[in-house]
Amino acid sequence: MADASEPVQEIIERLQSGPAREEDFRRLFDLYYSRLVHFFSRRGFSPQDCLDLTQETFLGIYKGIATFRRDARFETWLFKIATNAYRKRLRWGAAEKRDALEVPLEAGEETQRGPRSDPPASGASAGEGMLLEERSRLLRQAVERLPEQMRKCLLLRVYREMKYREIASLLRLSPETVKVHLFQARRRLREELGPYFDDAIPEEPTEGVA
Amino acid sequence: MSRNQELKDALGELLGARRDLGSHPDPEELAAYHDGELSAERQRQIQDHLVACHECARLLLDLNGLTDPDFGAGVGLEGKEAVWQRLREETPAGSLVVPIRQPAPSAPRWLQALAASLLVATLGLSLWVASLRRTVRELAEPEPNAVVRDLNSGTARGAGSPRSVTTVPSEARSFILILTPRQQRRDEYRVVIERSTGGAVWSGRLEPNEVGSLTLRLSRRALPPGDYQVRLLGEGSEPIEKYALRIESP
Repeated sequence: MADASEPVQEIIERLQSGPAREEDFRRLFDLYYSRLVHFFSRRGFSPQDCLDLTQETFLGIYKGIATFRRDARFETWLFKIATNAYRKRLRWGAAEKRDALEVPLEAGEETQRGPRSDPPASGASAGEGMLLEERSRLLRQAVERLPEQMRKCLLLRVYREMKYREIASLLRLSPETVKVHLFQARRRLREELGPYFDDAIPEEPTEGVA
Repeated sequence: MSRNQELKDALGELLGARRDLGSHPDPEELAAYHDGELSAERQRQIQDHLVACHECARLLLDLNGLTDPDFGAGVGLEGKEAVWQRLREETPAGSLVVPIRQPAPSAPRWLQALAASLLVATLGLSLWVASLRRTVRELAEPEPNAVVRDLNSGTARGAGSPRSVTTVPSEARSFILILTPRQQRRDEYRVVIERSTGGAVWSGRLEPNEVGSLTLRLSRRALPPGDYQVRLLGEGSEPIEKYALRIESP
């Protein structure tokens, strides 16, 4: 097993400085194997595809390790190789199924939790439907008037159901700033839309910032 | 409808209305965004894409995951050794020990020039020192067939011009000159060897041996071919005798 306390840069330095030693490459393999398999499984690949892509990524590392600049972050380089590998696999899969209907990656999500296209519940009257539609329109307009970063935070938090630290990482903000944006967004919406919308704009659920 | 659902739906509709994903950023650009290396304008464009594109957003979040040792801890262990073996088989030598060399960083030109100069100087100095050592060794070693010439064998005369010339053959690597002063013996003499055309090439003080002779061992290196004059002087540099010497050309 790899020594987790050994900095990866030292392993790479040894790999680059002389004949590549299998044991050093094995250390690298031990350090990143599960992370890569997990990375690919989160992209929706089958277990076997995940293993294939992991192998492909390590081959990419092996072939390119001599050109890796040590002042760069290894994980960033690893990310590029892994992402190129899986996108290549997606293109390859798409080419194989070129006769099949191509569905955007986001399409599945749209149908699950995207814009609500279903008609109002059968029990709801036409008047209630119009009321709901009107409330939705007002809500959308109010959200659109929010400052850009505040709106993005609200969207990622409420619609994407992301955590503070995930939003912070995506928008390159601190988690504290995200929390403040969310607090202010909800307060502005309540102020603008009035007590009639109170039930549509709940308080921010409690979550640690970290 | 839950308390949050109405807001969620409104946001979803807003996102749907605004959705203009464009093309997915390539991994290099996503990594550059993550590291804050893009222009402000490009950064804003990528950020807009990330908010709208769940796939790219999750992908970027997983870049952070790759830095976390606990990310996927224990995942895929059942296939780990098989992947490792396949990796070894995929490499040209069947194992992951093919030499991988990093191009050595090139030194600045001035440093290269300095190193080259030092190398040349060191080589030159080494050759010179080796030559000196060889000469010293040659002189120190006894030469069984060394040429011995007695300058007094009827060739020397008083302080006047030399009558005949003592010749040293060209093949002699070193030779020994014997001088025997005929006048009153002194404790020390001075010997000067000059070119016939003028200019001393060697001088030194010598003490006579028990029979009153002076022995002088010389290398051909010290005396190139030509005609010389050997002058024997007293302690006060007064002339005592004069000899003619010729080193033959090869």
